[in-house]
Amino acid sequence: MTTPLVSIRNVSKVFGSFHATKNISFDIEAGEFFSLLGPSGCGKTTLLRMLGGFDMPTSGEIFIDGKPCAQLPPNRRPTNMVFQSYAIFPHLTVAENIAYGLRTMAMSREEKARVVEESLAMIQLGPLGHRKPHELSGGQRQRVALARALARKPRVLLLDEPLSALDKQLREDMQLELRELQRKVGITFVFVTHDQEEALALSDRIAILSKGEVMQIDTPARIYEQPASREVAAFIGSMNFFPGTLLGFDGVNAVVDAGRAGQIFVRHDPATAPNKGDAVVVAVRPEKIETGTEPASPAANRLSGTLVAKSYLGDRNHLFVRVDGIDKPVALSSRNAGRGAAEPESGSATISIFWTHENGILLPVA
Amino acid sequence: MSRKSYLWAGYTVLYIAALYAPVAFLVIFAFNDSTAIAFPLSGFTTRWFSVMANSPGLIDALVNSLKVSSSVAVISTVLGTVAAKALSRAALPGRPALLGMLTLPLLIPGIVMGIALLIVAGAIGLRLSLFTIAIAHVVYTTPFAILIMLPRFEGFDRNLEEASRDLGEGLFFTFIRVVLPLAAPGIVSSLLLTFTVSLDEFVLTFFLAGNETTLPLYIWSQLRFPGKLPGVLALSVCILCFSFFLVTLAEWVRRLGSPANPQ
Repeated sequence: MTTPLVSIRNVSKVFGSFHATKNISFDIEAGEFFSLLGPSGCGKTTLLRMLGGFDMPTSGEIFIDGKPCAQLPPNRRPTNMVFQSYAIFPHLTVAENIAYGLRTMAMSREEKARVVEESLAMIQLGPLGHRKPHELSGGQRQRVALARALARKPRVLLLDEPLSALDKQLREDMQLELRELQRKVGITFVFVTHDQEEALALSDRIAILSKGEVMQIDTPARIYEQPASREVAAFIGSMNFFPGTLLGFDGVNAVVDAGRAGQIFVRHDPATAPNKGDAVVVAVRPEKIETGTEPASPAANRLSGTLVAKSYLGDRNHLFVRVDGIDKPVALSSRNAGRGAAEPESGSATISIFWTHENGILLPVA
Repeated sequence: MSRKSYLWAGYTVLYIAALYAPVAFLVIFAFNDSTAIAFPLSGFTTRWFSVMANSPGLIDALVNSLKVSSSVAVISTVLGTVAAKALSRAALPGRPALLGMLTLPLLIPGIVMGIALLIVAGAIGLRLSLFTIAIAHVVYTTPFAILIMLPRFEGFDRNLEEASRDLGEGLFFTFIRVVLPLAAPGIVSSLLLTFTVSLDEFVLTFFLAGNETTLPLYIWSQLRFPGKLPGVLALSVCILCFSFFLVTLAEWVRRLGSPANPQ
């Protein structure tokens, strides 16, 4: 069995009376693009800074390459960091910035020059090596920060919201570049972000953090389609929740009594289900709910309600349907496949909504 | 222009004249061909400058002044830089109080500080010399150095030092390769300004001088001889120009490298 590249064991960090991370443990495998995702103040940046050596854990240990690192200063770890502010040295040129970390490495002068040249080529800034940082655009500075950190060939590259300062178009381009670059260099990336789309698009695995604790670690698809808790389900994307009580099982489906909304069927493995009679919620993504007269598949839940609002978003519509017995209007999103597709009338029209049994997610109520 | 703005303009002219007229008279009489410091002027001459240059004791005083001022500039800039670096840490406990305490010597009257330092020198048996003058000047000029260096350090991204650590450098090389180059304009500016302040300082120097004399003390001593007055004026003009040049240079260097205008 191979040991994981990064192993975080029971790491807690306390600032005064604030617990930034609470007893966190997980592993990161070599070559992974691993994201730490969560709202601000969830502890993701603190965790990243502890991996880089800028903060020391109050308790717990961090193994990198099997070596305990928690108390080592940044200059003695096989990690490099891309800072949110980029932290490019303003008094040095682009090439000098990239070469900065090579002074302490055992390399000949020629090798160092070659590394700088290759790095400049990698970030497509070949002819700009002599420029000063203030002569570069935001995107170019971001690349210099990346090249500078990668020049030392770290085992782990730490990225602290590196794309947050860029505008939308540039951010999307850089996401692609970053992903490609990571595949090419094969270095493990640990990426901190509060942008869930970014995390879903880039990562091999995502750790969802909230209030200093890890809520779930999984692939993007599983995080989105199979959230482990109501909190994760609510944080990632938008979600409809139907609270109820678990009545029991009917074949492969759990049967939930949702009060006045009726019975809801959810595909679920009986082995991992909550106990009969427990309070549960059924979570359904808006894009998995259809509307019309009859569901496409007979194995579907059907509810009827009144359309209370509709918003047109170009590629899709959002509809909000008030269903008797559910507090918040149910959101559903439909794709605008054809121009002028017939839309249900807004106002007090009564409409039916459906979703198939396997598109619901049964979650316990904590 | 309205009547009111004419009044304001007149007031401003008078104000500036009052500020600079004495200095202007000093310059005028330094070039006046008479030992009497009075109107009417008798004619233009530069001979007071050669008289000054040949007066015995002047060169000694000048050399003493340069020795004191250059050591003071270096010492107070080093102390000020280190203090400012520490003060720039936002998490430093008691920071405002500390900053106040460190810069207070600027506001203590020179005569009080002079007496205080004289008492201390006597108490610990320090013989009055250029050394005691230098110590007094360092006490007085270090706050200037702190006040010049502090905005430099506060202006730069703390991540820069972290980035240097991250890229393999320890504390010492981080200081040499990142902190020092970024602080350099402030350091030059501080050296020039503390040098100027020390060069012109009189009150503390007067209290703490032994047998050796500095330029301001030399000028003071020459005032007893009416015949030497024009020579003293010539010397004052030289000092004035030199100080003005240094302060301008210091300010220019400071602006050159201010964080808002990176080089």
